[in-house]
Amino acid sequence: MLGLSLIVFVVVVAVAAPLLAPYDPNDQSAMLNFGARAAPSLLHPFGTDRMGFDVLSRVIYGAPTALAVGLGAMLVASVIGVVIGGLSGYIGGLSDELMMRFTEFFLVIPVFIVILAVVRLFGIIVVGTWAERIPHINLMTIIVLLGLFGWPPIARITRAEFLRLKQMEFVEAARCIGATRRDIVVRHILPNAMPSLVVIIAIGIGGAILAEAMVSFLGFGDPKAVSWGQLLYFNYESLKVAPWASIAPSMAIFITVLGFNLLADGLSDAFNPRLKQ
Amino acid sequence: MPIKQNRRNFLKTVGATSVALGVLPHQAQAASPFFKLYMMIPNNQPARMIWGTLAAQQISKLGVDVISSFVPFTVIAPRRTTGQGKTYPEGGWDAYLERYYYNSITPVPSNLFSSKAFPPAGQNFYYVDDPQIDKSLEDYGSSLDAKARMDAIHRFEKRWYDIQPMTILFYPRDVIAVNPKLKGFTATTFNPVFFPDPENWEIEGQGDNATSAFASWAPPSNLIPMYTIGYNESNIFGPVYNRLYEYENWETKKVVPGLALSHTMSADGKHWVIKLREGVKWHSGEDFTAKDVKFTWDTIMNKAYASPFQAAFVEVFGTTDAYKITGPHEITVDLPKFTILFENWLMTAMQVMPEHAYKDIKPEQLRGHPANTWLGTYTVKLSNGKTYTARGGIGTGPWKATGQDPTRKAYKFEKNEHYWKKTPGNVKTFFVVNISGSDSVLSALKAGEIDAHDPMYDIGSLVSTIDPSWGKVHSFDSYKWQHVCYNLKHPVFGTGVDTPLGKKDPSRAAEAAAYVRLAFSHAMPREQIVKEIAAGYGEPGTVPMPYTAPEYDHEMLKPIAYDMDLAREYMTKAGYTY
Repeated sequence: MLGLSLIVFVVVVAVAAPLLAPYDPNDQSAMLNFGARAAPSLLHPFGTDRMGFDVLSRVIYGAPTALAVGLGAMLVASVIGVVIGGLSGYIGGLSDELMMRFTEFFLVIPVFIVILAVVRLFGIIVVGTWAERIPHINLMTIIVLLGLFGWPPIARITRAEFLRLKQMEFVEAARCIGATRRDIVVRHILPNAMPSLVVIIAIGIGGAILAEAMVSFLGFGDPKAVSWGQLLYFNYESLKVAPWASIAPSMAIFITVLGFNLLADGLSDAFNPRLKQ
Repeated sequence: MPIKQNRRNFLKTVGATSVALGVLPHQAQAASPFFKLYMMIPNNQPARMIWGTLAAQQISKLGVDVISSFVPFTVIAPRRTTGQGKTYPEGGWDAYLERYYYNSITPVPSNLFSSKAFPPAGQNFYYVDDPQIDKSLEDYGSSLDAKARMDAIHRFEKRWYDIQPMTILFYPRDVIAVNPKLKGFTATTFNPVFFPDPENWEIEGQGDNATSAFASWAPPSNLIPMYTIGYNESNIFGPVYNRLYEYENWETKKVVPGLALSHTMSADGKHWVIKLREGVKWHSGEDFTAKDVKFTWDTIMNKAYASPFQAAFVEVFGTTDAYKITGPHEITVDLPKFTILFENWLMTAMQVMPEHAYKDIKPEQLRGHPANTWLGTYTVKLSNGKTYTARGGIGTGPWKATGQDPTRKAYKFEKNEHYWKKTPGNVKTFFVVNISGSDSVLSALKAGEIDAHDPMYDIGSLVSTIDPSWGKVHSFDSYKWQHVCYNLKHPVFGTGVDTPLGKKDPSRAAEAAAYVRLAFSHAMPREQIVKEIAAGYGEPGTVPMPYTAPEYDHEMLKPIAYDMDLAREYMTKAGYTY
């Protein structure tokens, strides 16, 4: 319940960001008025940071970015992971072997180095093309890359579930009444594999949010996106003189990632029939 | 199939809601930006990233679509050097930020802003190509009369102030924290004139055999003096080499003999006879002679070596026929015309390289050679038939290079016990270590791992966190400036041909470009940047001239007002309508 409450809280903050934030996220008027790194006050409840941004507003506007990263990356990862894992588990044989080796190949790739390199390359390639007009193209790239490299665990769980479920009696029954392979997979096996998948996806969302924060913290984030990782990057060196600017985004990351991890834990318990008994 | 229909409807609803609410954060964009500007912000220093982001945002408030990106300087350097003035989408650049300075204490703006110094042979990466600037620099550089020189440099400053080829944001004061037990730390670092100078350091309580470490933020690209333009590099190679003339200390900035003992100059400033110091030995044990000076100048003048100083050397000497050896320790120079660069830059700022050690290294091999990388060893044949194995550059300086440890990001030095000058310090082993981050460097200082650091760390805002028990704070006039520079071949803010005014009247294109740059300049909140980001350590910027230099015309150079209305007025003058 706590996990769900935290996530609902983050989602509400993200959706209502324009209503909740006291300032525009790009408002640097504090800097222009000699008020950067100001301690928390009534005017700025979380203080201002080195760049003169209102920390509370940036933290609030960071929520939609975090959710977009978490949900977007896991959407991409889930689609790839479920398709590859499902086919691998259901078809079996040589296809299974090949697809699992392919999955393992992705597991050993140093994801961060690839992301940093691709973000840099992509930033150069899109210059002067139609792709450049896509808002937050850098952030989108990070989301897609996190998804492209985040699917192997999902594929392995999906495969394991499909291997188990395809031997079950209800699947046999479906075959006997003449259900097509597509129906068996989509309407019988997949829904029954969902409990395990939802858990790993929930964990993955938290991981993706953390990963984006790390990419931004390394200075490779989207300069135009409001991201908690970037907030940390710009303020960690002022930790001793303006701790509020680092603590607030850190807490936001902590709450969100904790929420998704607790949710995954809760879902795992909820779907466990032994615990129900 | 009611279930499928419901699912589809559900997905449609979720999709529409997501779009309506905006899953991704939105940024307000000008309805129709006047033009696009790509700004590269070096990602190696958070403070600069902050004012870079602020600068980008301020320019965007004028209706410009500023696309900023955080990039390492290794991305910027090739774009500006080989871009041939191309814009960013064409593989060149539009705008970026940097901290810059002249390569000598006496300002030599012609090296950076003369139209004769375009890359790759020169350092006018910005393509400043203004006849009035050229004329003033020519007059400044070629006048023997000090007053005429001062008038010329003031004309340069005035012209710059009027057309703002780049936006000078501020003049930083260098803030450096050192080990309180360290005595003799009297200078900031400055390429290539001032280095850590550890031969003068005395560390209390360490007897006669002290070990010391100096932190430098960025790792070097080159360690052969003629290839280096950053003080992240001169911090390392500087203590190894000597120059013909050197500066006594940062406070007096007085020139004293180095490898040259004295010189004579003819009345017209063209004929020079330089007497070199005798008895000086290279670290290899070989004698220093006039051949080494000639070899250094020949090598830099040789285009095959692609030194960024080549254009400036050509401006001074014309050809290699301008100088000749007239004795083992004497060199005679006949300049095509008098130039201030010879005495105030070439002789005081350029290190002398060893002929016997470097002459056999081919141009295409030099950048990858251990003399430049300090990785591995190489053997040098000496005139007495013996050999010397070097682990880095070979100089005549107070410190011998003993190689690089890439895993520890450290460069090691041993004191040159046969140095030609007596030095007071007790440090016998010295390290330059690469540490990234202001917080990290202060932690290293607190832990006793380093004794001092270079000013790149911008620790101004963290001074209040330094306890006197582990850190003593020094502050120096830096002789540097922070700027936003523009590619002056850009069709809008460079040549102006694509501005509305430039299109309407091509003869006024340059004027229109200047209006755009003036608009950018007035959009910069310089005082706020100094106070809020640099913690008050600096002065608002106007022109590329050290704020404390005698050449800075304080009477004429009034602070540039932060005034968005005025900035928009300038944009309007360039033909843009709001």
